[in-house]
Amino acid sequence: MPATYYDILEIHSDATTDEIKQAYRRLAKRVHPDTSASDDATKLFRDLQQAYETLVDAKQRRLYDARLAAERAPHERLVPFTLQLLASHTQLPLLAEQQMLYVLAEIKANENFTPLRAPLNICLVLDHSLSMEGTRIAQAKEAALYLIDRLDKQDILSVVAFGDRARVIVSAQSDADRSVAKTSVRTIQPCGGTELLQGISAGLDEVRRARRFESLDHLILITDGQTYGDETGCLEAADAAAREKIGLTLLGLGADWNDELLDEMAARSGGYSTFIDSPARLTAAFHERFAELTNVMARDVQLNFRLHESVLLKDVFRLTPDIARVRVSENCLPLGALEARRTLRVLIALSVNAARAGTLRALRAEASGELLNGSQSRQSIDAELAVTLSADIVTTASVPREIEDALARIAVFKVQEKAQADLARGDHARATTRMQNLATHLLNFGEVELARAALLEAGELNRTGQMSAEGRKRIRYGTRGLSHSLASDRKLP
Amino acid sequence: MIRCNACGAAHPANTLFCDECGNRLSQEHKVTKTSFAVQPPAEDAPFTIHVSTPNADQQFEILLDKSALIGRKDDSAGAAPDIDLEGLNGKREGVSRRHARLVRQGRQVLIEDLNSLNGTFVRGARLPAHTPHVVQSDDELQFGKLVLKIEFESEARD
Repeated sequence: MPATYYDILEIHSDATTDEIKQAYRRLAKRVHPDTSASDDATKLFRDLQQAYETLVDAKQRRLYDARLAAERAPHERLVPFTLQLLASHTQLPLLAEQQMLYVLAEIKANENFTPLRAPLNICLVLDHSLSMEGTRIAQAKEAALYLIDRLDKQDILSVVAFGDRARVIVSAQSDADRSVAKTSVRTIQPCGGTELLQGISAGLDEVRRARRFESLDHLILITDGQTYGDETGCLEAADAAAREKIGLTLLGLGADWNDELLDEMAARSGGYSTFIDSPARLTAAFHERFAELTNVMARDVQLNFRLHESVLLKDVFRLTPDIARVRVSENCLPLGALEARRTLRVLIALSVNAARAGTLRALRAEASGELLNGSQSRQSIDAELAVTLSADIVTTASVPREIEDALARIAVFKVQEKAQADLARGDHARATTRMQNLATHLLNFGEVELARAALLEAGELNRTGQMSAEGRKRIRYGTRGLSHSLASDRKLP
Repeated sequence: MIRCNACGAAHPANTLFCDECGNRLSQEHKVTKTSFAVQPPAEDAPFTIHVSTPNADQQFEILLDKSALIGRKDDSAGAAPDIDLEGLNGKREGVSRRHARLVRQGRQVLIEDLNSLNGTFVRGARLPAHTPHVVQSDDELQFGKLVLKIEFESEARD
């Protein structure tokens, strides 16, 4: 192992700042190129200088310590997070047909692992099209100002506004005069249409330009309109963001934005998309998002998996923070960021078609993520799920509560999806029945408001053959939020 | 394959929820129902259990003091249950040799699963092993796949 800064300064790793200063003064005299006869005095002195500057600064020293800890031998290393696989059944009957097996995967940060609050590199992309006029643009600006006030000196902020074209309002910078940024945000005026790709591209460019080794890179979009013709470009931009580990938060305001596009962008990148029903809620959404971002302990979290040859993947839903489909590409699930105090839950539906009794190693999974502890090293942990197939079993045992609860909510979300699909096909009668069904289930979950909205839309469907755009979104994102009543560790301090 | 009781949609075996209508799917395989009657006991007198199939002459009468074992008779394994379900195709239906027992506690009748392989179900829910559960009149008791209806006879018969 190369000499650490502590070795160079000839001190203990728990030395106080005063001891560091003393050691530096003592050694500086000895190795200074002016007084030393040694040939490599210049290099020695430079190393000493660097060691001193790093360790004397509390924040830099913390980063350095974390990096050192991460570089140590694996057995000395603290496992930063755990992966647990819970199956709906541990024993399955031997059937001549396919049968379902559900797996709840939980990725949880180790409580003893202290992440650093990573410097944020955020670009805020604001739709300032004409439709934003009035309270929407006012509240969007308000939320932006709120965010600016919460940033640390080390954080980097940029703001892009887009209508027909994108304009950089605040270019990416850290530790700048935030009041200048605030003044610039206040000048944003509504004009033009909603060219989403323009805004996203300019925003990603700002993030790219300012990114640093240790920064947590993120783009927050607020939009209220439909974009036309650039959807493919938007999806490609989301793919690029995923590759470059830039997180996406996509907030849709009002009734007219393209929820399917934003959801798909989020699904591909491990990002988050949601519906903001009233502009007044924007600041609260920012507050929540900011709390989550500053609580991130690993980014670019993925679940890679391998299935037994007799097992097929049917569906994958994430349950954290909301119910959402996860796009699977090459046996890899992109899950975005892992927070220190919130378990990341994913429900995987498998279909088993095994004809032999015995142990079936159905699923092998590996969770990996890039740690935000100064080392940015990629860590992984794996787990295996095996079930027993036996001809003696003719009924299946009861299912763990967690899986039962998660599936009940996912089922409701799927019914809502199917109602949309019915509607798209023009099958109003069936969509109406489904919305009525949905209302019953929502009532069972105690979601009275949402149930009422579903009934209202069922009535609307019956009369006009259509659903209101707003009701549609309210129900879509409301059912996604059913996962909130699942996890007890969801609340942030 | 199983069908949703509410909307009739077909799903692969072991599917837990119907994504057409959102209902919980019942894993219960439909089999012939057999009923057996329990006479609610007087405080301390032994009581009688009748097991009968609806179409059948098959009846058991057991004098019960404290508890009755339900299972499948197997001489080689020395299993001799008080209520032998072998005659109802017990093996094929997934009944264990020592499957469950009925226990009386005063005037109450409880059922306890004896860690059977395929489980004991009351009103569709699987009982945890060795956890007695109160049985009421008209409850459906399921041993493996075999569904039996339990009916209390009126006390007037005393």
